[in-house]
Amino acid sequence: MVTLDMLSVYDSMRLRHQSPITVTLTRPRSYVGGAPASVQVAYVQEQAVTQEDVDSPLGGSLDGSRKIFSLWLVECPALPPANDYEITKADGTVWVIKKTETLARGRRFRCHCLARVGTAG
Amino acid sequence: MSDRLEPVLAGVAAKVASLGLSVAGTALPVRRQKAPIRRQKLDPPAMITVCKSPAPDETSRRRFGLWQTTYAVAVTVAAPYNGADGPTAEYSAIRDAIVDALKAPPLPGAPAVFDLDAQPADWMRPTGETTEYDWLSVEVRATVAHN
Repeated sequence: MVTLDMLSVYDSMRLRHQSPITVTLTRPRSYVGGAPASVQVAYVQEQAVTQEDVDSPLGGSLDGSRKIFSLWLVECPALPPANDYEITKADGTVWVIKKTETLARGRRFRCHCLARVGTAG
Repeated sequence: MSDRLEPVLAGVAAKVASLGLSVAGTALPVRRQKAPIRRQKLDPPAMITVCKSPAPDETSRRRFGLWQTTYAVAVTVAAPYNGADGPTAEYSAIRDAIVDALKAPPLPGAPAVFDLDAQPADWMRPTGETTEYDWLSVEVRATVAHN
C-alpha cells in the first residue's frame, strides 16, 4: 500500500510553475528580532503588475504598483515571508510585502506586495 | 476678469523652488499642480507639489468697498519611504524651511499679498507603511485685498 504524503505533494507543486524565478527575501532590521537577514528563494511564481492609486491624500493621488509573489516554505524554511519583508528581484526592483496569505497547510505563501517608490516602473 | 489665486500659487512655488530643498542628496523639483498627485511613470520619485489646498478660502469685508480673501495653498513633499525607523531630520528641516520662507510677505510676483502665514499640516499621513511614500505637507495662507 502506498501512503501519500500530502505535504510532499504540496511541496512538489512548486515544480509545476511555467516560469519560476529566484528572488532575495529580506527581513528588515527589527526591534525584537535583531539584525536584517536575507535568503535566496527559488521556484517563486510572480503575477503580472497591477498599477493603481495607493492613496488619495489632500484630494490628490499617489500611484503605485502591486504584484503577487508565491513562495514555498520548503524553499525558505529558515525565513518564511511575513508582512514588511522585502522581495528583491534580479533586476533590482524591491517589492514590500503588505499582506501574506498562508495556503496549502502552511506550505505556500501568497505575498501581496507594493513596489518601493523609485525602484519599479 | 480678475485672477488673484494664480499669482499666489506662482509666488509660493517660486519661493519654495528658491530654497533648493533635497532628500537623500536628490534635489526636489517643485511642481505646480491642481492637486498633490504623483504619477509613477511620469513624475520623479521625490518631488514637491504646490497646489490649491482643499481647505476653503475665506472672503470677508475689510472696510467699505474693499474686501479681502485668504487663499489656502498646500505645499506637499512626497518621497520614497525610508522605513519605519528611517531618518526624519531632512523632513523636519524641509518643513521648517518652508514655514520660515512663507510665514511673512512679500511673496515674489504677488504684490497684492499683504499677509502671509504658513503652518505645518499633515506629517507622514498617509503612512509609508501602507503607501511606500514619505509624505508631509505645509499649509500656506495668503491674504489679498481686492475690490
